[in-house]
Amino acid sequence: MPIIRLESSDKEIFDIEQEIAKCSETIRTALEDLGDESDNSVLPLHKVNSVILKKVLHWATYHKDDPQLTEEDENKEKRTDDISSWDADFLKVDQGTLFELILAANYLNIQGLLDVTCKTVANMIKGKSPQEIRDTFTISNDFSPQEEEKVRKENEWCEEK
Amino acid sequence: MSGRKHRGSENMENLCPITRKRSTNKCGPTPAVSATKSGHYELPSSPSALTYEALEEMGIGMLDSEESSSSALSAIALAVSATSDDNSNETTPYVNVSRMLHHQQQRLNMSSTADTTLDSSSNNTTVIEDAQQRLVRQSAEKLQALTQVKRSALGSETGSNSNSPSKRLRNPLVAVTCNNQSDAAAPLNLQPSTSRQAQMRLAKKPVVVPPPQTARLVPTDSFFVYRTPSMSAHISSGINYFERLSDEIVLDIFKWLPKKTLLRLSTVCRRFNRCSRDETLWTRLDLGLRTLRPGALEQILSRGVLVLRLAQVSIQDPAFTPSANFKFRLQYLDLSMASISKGSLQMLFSHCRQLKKVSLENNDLDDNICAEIAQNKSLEAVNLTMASGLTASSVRLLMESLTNLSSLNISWTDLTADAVTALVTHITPNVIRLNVAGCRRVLFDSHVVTLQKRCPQLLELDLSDCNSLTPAVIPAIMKFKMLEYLSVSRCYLIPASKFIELKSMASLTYLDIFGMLSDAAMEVLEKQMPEMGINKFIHSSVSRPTVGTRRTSIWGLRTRD
Repeated sequence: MPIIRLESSDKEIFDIEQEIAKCSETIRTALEDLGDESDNSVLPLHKVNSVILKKVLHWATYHKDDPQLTEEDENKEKRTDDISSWDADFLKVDQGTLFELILAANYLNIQGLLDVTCKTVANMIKGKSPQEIRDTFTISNDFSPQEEEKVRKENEWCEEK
Repeated sequence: MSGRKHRGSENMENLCPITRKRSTNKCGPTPAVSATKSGHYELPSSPSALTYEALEEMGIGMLDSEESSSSALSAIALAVSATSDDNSNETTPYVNVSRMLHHQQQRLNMSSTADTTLDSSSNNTTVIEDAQQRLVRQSAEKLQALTQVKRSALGSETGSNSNSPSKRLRNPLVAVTCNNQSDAAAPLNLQPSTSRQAQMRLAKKPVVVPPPQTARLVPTDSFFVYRTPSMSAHISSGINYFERLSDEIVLDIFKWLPKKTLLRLSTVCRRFNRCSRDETLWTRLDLGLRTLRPGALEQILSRGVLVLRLAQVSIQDPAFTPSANFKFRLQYLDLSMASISKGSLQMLFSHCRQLKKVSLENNDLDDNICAEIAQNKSLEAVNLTMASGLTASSVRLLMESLTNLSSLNISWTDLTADAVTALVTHITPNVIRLNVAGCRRVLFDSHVVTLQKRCPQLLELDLSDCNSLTPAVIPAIMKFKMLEYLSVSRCYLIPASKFIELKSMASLTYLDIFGMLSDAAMEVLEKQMPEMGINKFIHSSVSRPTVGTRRTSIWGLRTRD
């Protein structure tokens, strides 16, 4: 089985089956560009460190037999409660790791991983008040009181029932 | 399969916290592999007798697989912990199965790395995850190798091990507090192949991308169950990680949120306010049944909504800022049964030029509103059912302007005879579905003749309750060579015998004649026309955004979150 060698930003080399690595569109494109030379060359991934790359490859290995994601369909319900238990477990990590994984999934263009990590963050936002959201993600409120009031008004569309 | 129960018990022996000490005592330094290989050794005096059936009763149905998978084993562990009397106060009865696996495997990892001078606390969650994955995929040989390592490390491991269990049980945060620490020495299946450290590790534990074989769980004498917070990411870290994400990625997160949450997000901070208004998040919106505050409709439409369901909303005036001069992207608008002032309605349509489908069912209209609607040249479907205020001139303007119309429902709009004449004279020949029901004393046979000449390609025609129609209309109707659906319900002047003539219309598939025939007469008619679907549709679907009880989409486009 052909192997691709991936180099993390901190210069660690990971040998991984090409088929697994190809869940990353970025790597897939690079492999196509390399053609026959892909067997021995090292593919540097400047934006992913070894810790995160390990996790990403772990995820990719588990999901290697997943069916291809279908085109984004606006008519499909946007669900965030459909995260598999394996993925949920996989993503029981600290915030820093979770956001690093989002960045890596985006950089490597792995749609499945990007979706599930973004859904996880979305679930952390759901059901929280603005202040709770600020507290959870350490976001500072940079509105002036007048601005905040104006924005609040602009977003109060419906009479509460 | 004969050893199934034995194997189950054996694993229980190894997984069960209470029997752990016993097995350590018995097997000494070489417990694990030999136990698996021999397959049989003395059944432990378990706190509660566990049979295969009992396990199954507890919802653990994976045990009949020959290659008793790791999940099955962990299920047994789960069962054991659930039934273990002695431990019930310490263990978590319904603990997540995979989490149990984690910890067991984590212990394994810790022992295998114990001699790489690493404190066990440096194992972080990555280790746990990888451990789990490895557990699932490891082959028996690989595990054996692992155990070799473990055994070699046992010396340094056992000491701390035997002291720690109760402490571990009572400190559920142990694994979590390690999360932020480096896992530089974490044993992983995806081994870096060059770094020196990795090579060292490799030499000790040659596990590189194990093939996806079924795991045979190595019994271990260091297994505990303890609680961990379900998501440590919920714990604030003191760092705003959103700052590291581009707006594009922030939108990737926001796109999973319901609209209500997006509105709440806007007051979190300026950036969230900006991102939460992005038009990609607002293409579809359902506010049906709500009461919209003054100015809200302008806010909503200026977000770039394309598909908007406002059925049965109550829109408070003023809906728009009077001086506002902008155009909305809106293409699909369902205002069925909405309560909105004529002034606001006119303003609304004056800002729309790209509408494709619109429903104004039961709305109050006037000539000014119709003039604005007529500016939307790309309208394909218009539903005006029960709308009031439609004049002959408005109908004419609409029919002359809307040349792309393919579907029109203008039923029960209290049209004048002039308006009906304007309709059938100027309607675009592109129309294929038309509902003009309810023109009680104003729609005559001659109108149908004109309509047939204007729109010979009609597929669907609803003339129900146009009770001025006479039997003479039937020949005109029969000239529609493509007509598939016809309703002439309650057109009382047409005798039942006339409908049999429609039999010769090759294209006609459905005929609605509600309220016309007795049951006996209907039976006769059905016998005469066995191919025809008679009285299949009580409600017309022409141009209607929602049909039946489905309310999440309008014209097939989903609007609900």
